[in-house]
Amino acid sequence: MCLLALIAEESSYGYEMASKLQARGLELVSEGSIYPLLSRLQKRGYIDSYLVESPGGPPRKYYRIEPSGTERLRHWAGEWSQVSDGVGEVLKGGHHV
Amino acid sequence: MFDISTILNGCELVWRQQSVGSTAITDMRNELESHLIDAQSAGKSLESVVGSNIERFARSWTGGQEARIIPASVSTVQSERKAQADATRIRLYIAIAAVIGITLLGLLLGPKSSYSGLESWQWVFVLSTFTLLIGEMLTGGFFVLPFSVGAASASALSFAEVEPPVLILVFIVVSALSLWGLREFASKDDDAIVPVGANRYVDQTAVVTETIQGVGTIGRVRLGTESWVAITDGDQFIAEGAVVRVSEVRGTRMVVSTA
Repeated sequence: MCLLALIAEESSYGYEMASKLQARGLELVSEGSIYPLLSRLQKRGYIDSYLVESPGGPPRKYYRIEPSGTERLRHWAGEWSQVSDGVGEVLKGGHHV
Repeated sequence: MFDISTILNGCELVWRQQSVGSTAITDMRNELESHLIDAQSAGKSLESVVGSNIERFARSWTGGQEARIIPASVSTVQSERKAQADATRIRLYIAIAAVIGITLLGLLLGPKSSYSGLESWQWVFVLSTFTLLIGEMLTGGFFVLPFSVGAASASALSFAEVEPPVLILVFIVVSALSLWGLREFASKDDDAIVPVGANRYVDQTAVVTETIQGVGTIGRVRLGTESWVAITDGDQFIAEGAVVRVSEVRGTRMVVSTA
């Protein structure tokens, strides 16, 4: 979900995404673990990829969001806020006791 | 611990063992390489990208795209269809042999019999009617039944003392007519048989069940009750759920394009 949100923000490539996630406080087990996720997202048609020449090395594979991905993201975000609100409420209740 | 090329080669080896397509491998290899280069120039360790186990990393990436298994033996289906076609041909031969046999029997018995010529024809047609009915029950497929109907008509007329040549004519005409009339039932059988081989799928529509990401990638489509591995020639991204048209069957894969 976070990957999809990042891509929705702006088209990006793997390394950049991993760095952004870390910069926002999400520590990954390994940076490479985003690729299985990206491949699954692409397989489901939520994102599409294109190549951009890179100065030092092979061309970079950028990912951009597809309309179905935008829709899915809205859906997931809705689910997530429900869960996090719920958990938040439960925790708040716990503090009062 | 690792250097970039060790990681890349290690991953490629794993992907090859998993029978990942070469285009996809090149793609993933390049993507990983650029990530590793970036990470290295940012002073990060390569292990922070791939973890400590390259093989596990490579496998996790391709998690969903392991080697495809060829759909349930295509050749078995084909040989079954061939057997059906053979059975139909045999039925036709039996029917033709029956007609010739009845006519010959009538001609032989007719003049020589101690009965009157007409009476022997009555016997021939009544017997033929029942023999052919039994034949139809044994073979099925509505190939023999029309001749039985023809023989029944002729035997009815033979009791009305119609001349033998007319009886034979009636037998042939009625058989032909009912064969034509029952053709619908017989040809239903045929339709399932004639389009032998995988090309019967051409021009049919299918639904994508696994996204096809353009040339060189593999997805799946569902056609009726069958699930096929599908590829596309156009550089189009065909998302899951899309309706596609089968343009060709290449080996065990369907070549599809958006309908």
